[in-house]
Amino acid sequence: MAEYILEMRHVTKAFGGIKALKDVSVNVRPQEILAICGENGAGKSTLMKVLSGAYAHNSFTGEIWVDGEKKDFLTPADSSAAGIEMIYQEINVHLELTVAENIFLGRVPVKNGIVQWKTMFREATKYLEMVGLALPPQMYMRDLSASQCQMVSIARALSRDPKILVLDEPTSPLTEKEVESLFQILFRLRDQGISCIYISHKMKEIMRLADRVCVMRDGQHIWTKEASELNMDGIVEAMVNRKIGNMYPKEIIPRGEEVFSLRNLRIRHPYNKKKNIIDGIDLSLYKGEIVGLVGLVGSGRSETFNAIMGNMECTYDEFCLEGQSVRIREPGDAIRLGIAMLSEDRKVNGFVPTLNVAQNISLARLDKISKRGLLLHDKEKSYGLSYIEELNIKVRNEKDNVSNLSGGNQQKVVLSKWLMAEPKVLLLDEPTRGIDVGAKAQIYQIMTELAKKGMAILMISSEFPELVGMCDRFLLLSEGKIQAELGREQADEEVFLRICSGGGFEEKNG
Amino acid sequence: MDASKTKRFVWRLLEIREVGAVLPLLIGFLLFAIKSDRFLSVDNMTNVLRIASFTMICAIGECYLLIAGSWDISIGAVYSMGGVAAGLAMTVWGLPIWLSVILALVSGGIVGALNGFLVQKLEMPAFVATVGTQFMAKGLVQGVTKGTPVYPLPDGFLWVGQEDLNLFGLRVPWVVVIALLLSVIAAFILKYTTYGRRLFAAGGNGEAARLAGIPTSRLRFGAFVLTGVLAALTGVLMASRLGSAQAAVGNGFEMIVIAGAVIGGISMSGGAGSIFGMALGAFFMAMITNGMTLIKISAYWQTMVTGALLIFACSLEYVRNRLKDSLNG
Repeated sequence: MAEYILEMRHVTKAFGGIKALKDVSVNVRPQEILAICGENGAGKSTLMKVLSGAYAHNSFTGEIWVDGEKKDFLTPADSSAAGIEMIYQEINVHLELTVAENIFLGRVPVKNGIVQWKTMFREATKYLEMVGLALPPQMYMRDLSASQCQMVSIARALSRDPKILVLDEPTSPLTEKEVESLFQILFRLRDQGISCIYISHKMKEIMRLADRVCVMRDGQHIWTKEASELNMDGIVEAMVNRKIGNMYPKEIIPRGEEVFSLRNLRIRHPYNKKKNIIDGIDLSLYKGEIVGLVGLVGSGRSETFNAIMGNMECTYDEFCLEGQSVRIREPGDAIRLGIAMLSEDRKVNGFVPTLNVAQNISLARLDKISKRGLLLHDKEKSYGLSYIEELNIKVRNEKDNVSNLSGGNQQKVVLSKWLMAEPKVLLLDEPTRGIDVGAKAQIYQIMTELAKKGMAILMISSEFPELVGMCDRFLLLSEGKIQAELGREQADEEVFLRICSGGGFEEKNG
Repeated sequence: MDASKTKRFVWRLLEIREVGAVLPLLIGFLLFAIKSDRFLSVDNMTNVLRIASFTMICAIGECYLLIAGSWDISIGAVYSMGGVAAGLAMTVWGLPIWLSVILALVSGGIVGALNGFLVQKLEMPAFVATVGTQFMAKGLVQGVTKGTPVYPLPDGFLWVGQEDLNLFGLRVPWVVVIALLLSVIAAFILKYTTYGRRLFAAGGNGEAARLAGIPTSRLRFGAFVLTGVLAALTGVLMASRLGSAQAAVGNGFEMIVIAGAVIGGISMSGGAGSIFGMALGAFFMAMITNGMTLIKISAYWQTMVTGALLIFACSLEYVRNRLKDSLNG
């Protein structure tokens, strides 16, 4: 057996003059878990696309060697045939098919043109057991939870008998318990001889899992070291190339007057019309405070935000902004009254891919860059440039395409749009999801600055440490009601989880 | 050094969406010019421009709608309806010309509003809703006219379709003047007004635009109404040109309009395109029909050639993207 099961030698890949990868060499030993870390835009995804065959071998320079043999991948199928299987962050399954069909997608066992369902279900069960899922393979994917779907995609990868498994941020849809069982699976696979490349932002996971750690920055390979020689700070420093001081630049600001108050909000459940997903909650926000709306996925946190913005039907007794009773029918009303919402998924409803950076920034306040309905392109440009500078958005110029930016920079463009709207109340739904450490720290810094200027911020996050780090007050949401209100001094991740999981709901499912 | 300069130039060229229309346009133009000595004559060029003008006027509304993220295939039927409505108002009801024209435009607006209501309020797929209204409008016109042309139309009505503007000795048909004027206004609105920006945003990502306070549903509704009005206007102008309003004049016209728009780089998935590109596309469609007749391709085969050329022109869009990708690498 070769010393390395996989070698990527001197890979350079450019996009129209911009080098996304500069002479990157990475290798993986047999029976090893290699973690690759780097900020978004560091080149990890590009490197993985080179490896997966998503970029054909003639579109980059450099070589790929698998098990001592040089390989030229033209398509992802070639890479798969060479024993490389990819599992992506976004769950990639067909909801209308059964679990077994998903596992054998494209390779359904057939005899004389007839699908061998029995064989397929039997084989599927085997792979489901490997990933620790006790599910009947006849079940439809639609009925599975997000984490179960993720496990099925891992089972699918395993069914193809891979030599190397590549996991790109696989744990984002998983609960902590499921993460642990995923790790056990990866350890077991390693012992059985399957190597693994693990891409993640989460230092805790990397320290727990990896044998070696490889750091990338600005399209370059910085170093690869044995995990036993490393600590978290060392990795983070290499990733961002500067000392990270306090991750959460929290400043306690004396809270001002009440700016937002909503009494007895009720929202119908989107899938179950007989039930309320939000069943009578009161919200109030004061100037200069950051409040965390703490709840698990499906607790109605995002629905609450959308209801406030007039983007979802709801009922309430009273809605006041700065003491004035208001009525919001559509998002435009909310923006005019001084409420802005950074939505959960920037790709789905955060930015407009066909508009450029400056045009996306000005989108919510076209009135500021126009006179009697006529656009003032100069003004738009200067607004764009000022936010690009203020938020340190990495672009060539203000006319860059938003889709080509990294996640962190996209998020900063979307945030700029809402800052330009000059809201009194800012709703942030997962403001740092899928963005790198450096950009995260910047967003926290911006939040602190905004609070200082008297903005009231209501924030949702699945990352409890970030809530604990940034918020003054916490509203714990579960079963449609606010179960508890905690102050900053009472903040504790375990308490959050206990109250929000509402009497062990997570336990039963796990 | 030189190679990278060339590459940059090609790259810049590929960034332009309208490039897909320019190339086949040039090739066709040269080919017809070489093969036929009549093609380049002033008379013939005027004729091509006039035909393209009808397509352009109708396509302005459709472009707005496509850019805003929807579409309308009832325009061919509304085109016929507009002409017939104006014709009946003038001949049967004896209304003044200006009132008849307004009436025709309103009838187009009503069909547009119905389309907008079905698609935006009832959330029907645009294809289904506008096929439905297409049949309804077509049926209405057939029912009222029983298939016979409406004529004679008053002389005062005919000048706009039949006479020319004398521009320093160059005779430019009024229809061409109207089409160019409307196109310039439409292009200006699209590029330089908040309304235009909102259309692009609504088509580029409707959900993001809505959350940014843009009333996407009302915006598209408005674009449907505009599309209906402009389709009816095209019908009125054609009735003036022909001297009679005919029930079947707009049959299949919607496909010429949409094809022209798409060749000119208007995205079928919304959020991208320009009036300039559409105008090139409309000219291309008019030019190939005219050119093929001149170089004596049998009328029976022209339709097929048109189809093939359409596919060729649109495939350039994909070639453009592929080329961009490979320049990336």
